[in-house]
Amino acid sequence: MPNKSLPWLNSIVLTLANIGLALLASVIVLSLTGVDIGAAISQIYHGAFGTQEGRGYTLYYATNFIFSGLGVALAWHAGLFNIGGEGQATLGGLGVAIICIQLDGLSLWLLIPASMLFCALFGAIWAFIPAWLNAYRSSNIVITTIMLNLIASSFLVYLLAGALKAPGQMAAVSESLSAGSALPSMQSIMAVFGYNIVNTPLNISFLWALVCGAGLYYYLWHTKLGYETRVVGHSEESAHYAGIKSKRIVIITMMISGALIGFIGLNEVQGNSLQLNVDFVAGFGFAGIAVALMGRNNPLGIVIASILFGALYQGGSELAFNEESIGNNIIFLIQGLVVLFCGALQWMLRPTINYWLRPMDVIKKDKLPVR
Amino acid sequence: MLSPALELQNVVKYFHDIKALDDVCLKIAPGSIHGIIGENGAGKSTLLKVAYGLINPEHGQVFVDGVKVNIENPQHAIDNGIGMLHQTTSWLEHYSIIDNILLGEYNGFFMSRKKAKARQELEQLCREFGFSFQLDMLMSQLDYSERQLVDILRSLYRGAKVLILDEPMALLSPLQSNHLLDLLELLKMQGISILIVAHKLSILHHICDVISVMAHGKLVNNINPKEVTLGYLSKLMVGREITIPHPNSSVSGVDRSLRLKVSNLGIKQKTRLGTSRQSFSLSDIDFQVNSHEIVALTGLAKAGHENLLAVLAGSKPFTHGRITVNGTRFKPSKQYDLKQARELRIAYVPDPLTGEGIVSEFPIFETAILGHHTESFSTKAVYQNKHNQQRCQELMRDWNIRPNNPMLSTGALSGGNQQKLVLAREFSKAPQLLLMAHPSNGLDVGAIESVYQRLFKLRDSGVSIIFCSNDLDEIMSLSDRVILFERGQIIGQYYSQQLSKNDLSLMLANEVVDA
Amino acid sequence: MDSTFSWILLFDASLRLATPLMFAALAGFVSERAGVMDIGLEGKMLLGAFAAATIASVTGSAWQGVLAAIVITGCFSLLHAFACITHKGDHVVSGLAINLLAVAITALLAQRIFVQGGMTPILSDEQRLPTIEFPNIITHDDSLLSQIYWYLLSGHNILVYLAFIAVFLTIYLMKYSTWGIVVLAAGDNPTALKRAGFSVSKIRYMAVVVGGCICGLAGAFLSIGHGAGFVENMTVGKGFIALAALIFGRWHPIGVMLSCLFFGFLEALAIRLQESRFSDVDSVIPIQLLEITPYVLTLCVLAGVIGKSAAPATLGKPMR
Repeated sequence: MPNKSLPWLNSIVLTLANIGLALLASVIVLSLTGVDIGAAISQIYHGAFGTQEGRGYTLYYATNFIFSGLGVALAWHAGLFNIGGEGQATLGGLGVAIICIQLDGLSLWLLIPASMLFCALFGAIWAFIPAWLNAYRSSNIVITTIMLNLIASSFLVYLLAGALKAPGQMAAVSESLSAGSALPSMQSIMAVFGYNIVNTPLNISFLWALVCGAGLYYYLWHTKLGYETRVVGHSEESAHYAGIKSKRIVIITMMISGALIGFIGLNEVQGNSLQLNVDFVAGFGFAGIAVALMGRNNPLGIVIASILFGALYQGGSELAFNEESIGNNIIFLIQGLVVLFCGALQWMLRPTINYWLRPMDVIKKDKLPVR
Repeated sequence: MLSPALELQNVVKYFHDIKALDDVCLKIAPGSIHGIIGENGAGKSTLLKVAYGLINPEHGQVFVDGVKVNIENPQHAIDNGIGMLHQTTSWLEHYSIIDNILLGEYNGFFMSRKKAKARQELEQLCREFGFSFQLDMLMSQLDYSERQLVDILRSLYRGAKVLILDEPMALLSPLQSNHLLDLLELLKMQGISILIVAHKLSILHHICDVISVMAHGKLVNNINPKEVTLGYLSKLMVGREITIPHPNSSVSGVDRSLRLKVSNLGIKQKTRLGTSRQSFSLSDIDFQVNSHEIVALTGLAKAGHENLLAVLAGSKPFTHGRITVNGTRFKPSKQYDLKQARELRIAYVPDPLTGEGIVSEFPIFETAILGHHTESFSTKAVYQNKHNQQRCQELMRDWNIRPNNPMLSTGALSGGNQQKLVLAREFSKAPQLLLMAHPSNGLDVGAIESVYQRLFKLRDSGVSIIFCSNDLDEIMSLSDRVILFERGQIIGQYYSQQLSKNDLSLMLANEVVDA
Repeated sequence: MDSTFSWILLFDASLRLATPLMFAALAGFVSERAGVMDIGLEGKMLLGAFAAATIASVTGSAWQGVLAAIVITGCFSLLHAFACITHKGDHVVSGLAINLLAVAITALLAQRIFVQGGMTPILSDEQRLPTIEFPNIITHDDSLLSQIYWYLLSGHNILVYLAFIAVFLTIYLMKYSTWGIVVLAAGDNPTALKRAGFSVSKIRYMAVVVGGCICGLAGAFLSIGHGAGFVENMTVGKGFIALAALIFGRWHPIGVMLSCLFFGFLEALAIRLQESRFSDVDSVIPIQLLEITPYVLTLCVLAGVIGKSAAPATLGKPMR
């Protein structure tokens, strides 16, 4: 019997227990693979938070995690599993690169809205395909998004080997965007307020990610479309009863989700590398699933989870410098275990927790066990 | 004396907080036909499922031939010689009859080895009991009654000594059900004990050696049908006369206006599994509803009354006929949907057990605007949660929904309070026509009473109310008029005051009423 | 090189490239027909490849490597079954977790054990699975028959032949064994199964684990059959192509086999084109077009453009 008087307490405890289990399992697996846990943790911590530069990188990576976590979470609220983040982010980056190259020399005040628009548009279009297939041809959205991820990555390779290839370059990269089209870095923004910080790739898209998080919260819980989205996600029958057009909701939700994930391209391409390369998405699209699961699909939770993942990513890459390729794989490992324990096995501990947190009156009466 | 072929002792089963089976003891004598009757929700089906291991009770023992056995799943039941004929059959469509039957016998990796021997045995059984199908026919070629026979054949093949039947006649034509009855008699002569649940009292009266009556999860009576009349049997089943005082005095001396007119309405079904016949899940529905009246739609399982209610609400499309609401005519098209119905001030309260009318994960104040959320948002692009919470709190106070906290999740409310919440929401929109499916499903007596009072008040103020129900008490105490359905057609309309509960029960079971 | 011979070589390569797809798709077939969705094929293949190469390299026995691959993928599918069946978790989420874990665990362990940047040492021929040469019943000459016999049919790795045997064995079992029928029913009509006295959970568990074991063979073929050692993330999307083949093959063994062969052929063609690029022969078809063909075709099947998708009725839905 769920704790009826304090249902939220049970769910928070359950979430924390799942995260704890995932981290515990990570520690166990890592020590089995012979990583010196104590040293690794302190290295990761130091790498992520120890220096101003580390903190900058942490938030820079967190930006990507926020975008993809928000996108996955939004789709999840409509009962859709968008694992097409890789593809949508790829397309988002493509949109940014194309518009920045086309509009080179334009004032930054005009360029930024244009590149944001194109970024969102490209991501949304890529998400529209599985959304339409799901709504009107009832295709399984998981499979279609996987297929579109792979198609997007081949498409990018194709463009980078041909149409967008930088002249005179051996590697498959696009021509560089001019330095004038880069997003304002956090350093320059803080400088306006009189603070002097180290230059890192951290840029204005971090703030945009926070705005998106707040916007998503507002959208889901304070607007009609958000309300309808959640009804569709919870119960198809109730949505039908309420006269909600589920198909329309599916398409709108997926397109917004794709747009959000597409912004990874903004942060990566216009915020940092200023060119398009083959693997700029580097798993950030997939990572959104772990982030959303850890953050319980709640924007605030996602921001917190993203910073944690950002820290792991940054701290892990410090490890990578010291111990070759361990760092990246630690991230994948923790991601995998978070997905496993906070996602696939999320209900495993529920009976235990409900038992320990049962209300006092139930303990006293010792009611018949209910199956 | 011989020990009973099957005996259930002190069976207790809870569904959430509700006691579905309350200390039930049942003995089935060898070679007898034992019937169970009772109203909907009395726990008959649950009891049968316990006996077949599909439901595990909290408490209770099962004895077969006087030996205590442990039945946790269907395999145990089969091993102990218990077979079951389910209300709906479920087979592997693309396999032959023989494969389907042998499937259960999980001995041997390959089927072919045993097949020849099994075929002989099965053919022998078919001859013995007069089954006419070929063992190599595919399941998909069989109709419902034949599938039932395959169910029985499988049980026999696997050595069933006790056969359990759950509403076997509900979907059979009279001819088919006569065949089935002959078969049951034959089985009985072979020494097989039969436990049967059915609504058709006269049939049970005719074939059973013993009839048990169930009510509210309890087995209340064991009777020998030879000693009692059909009328007495039906009285036993109906039990006490209506307990809720009968405050229903239909309104007189007011101008009644025509609210709803349904003419020639029908739903054509998609043809199933290669049958070329056209089938209608509803056909030739003609009736009218005026203001100031409450109309009940009722019938046995799948009689079509529930479908009709959903059609009127705009939740299901119809393919033939017309619906006229307050003078606006609707043809079969996509035009008439829930939204359109709401605009015509038709309120729809779905069956509380389906959970359609609520979103259990939502806070109560969000459920309180479901279906009407467009208005809640239309003032601005933004909807004011605060405002909605306050309104919800008022509604909850008005309807005495506890705990009175709009922030709680809807699922945390009891079933009765959830239903009151839906009613509160729909009432607050001042409907002209109220449609309700099984209004008191899952509600306790107190809640039922208060709901009824409100419905009467609504009716007296001129609203038309249509509800579908299988609960005779409910129909008798709530309705002014009853419309009876069978196989998707209307078979009769009666004024409730001219009927007794007993008459209604007999008519539903398709019996001839003496009076 | 004359053109017939070059076609034969192309088909020969297709067979080799289709083999891991066939194993993985069959693995998915068994699991998904029983109603449990399996997008963890990619990860399990990787785990199998790693286990096979590692054990083969340590013990020197290829067959022990195969055994290790089967055991480890079996264990991970047990985890998948535990999450999906016992705890009614989301099948996709669980599969995804396995994919992520596989990448990380294989790389970390490979790094740990061999300290060669996430690779195993290159395996010697004794540490790899043997190839099978056909008996000398046709003379070596330039005739088409001889070329087909010697270059297309003979001389493949033993797992290539096993893959085909596995397909036909699956068909046979699905048709004639109780086990096969029961697995199909577990995905299509669990109610009927339950009434016949089976435990649907048990059957699904079995199917998922058997599927996992078959997937181990796909991995073993990559690292100790076709390849000679494990490389980080060496499956590069083959698991997803297998998934595509499963859908494109309409969840039927023959269909699955044919689509695997077709996708293998596309891959072989892409490699051929890439090689010809280097020799400055400009090709008309972009390689990427060949790469995405399986995925696009699968989308078309899912969209109902090419026939109807024939997924098992209860695929991915936890049992009540």
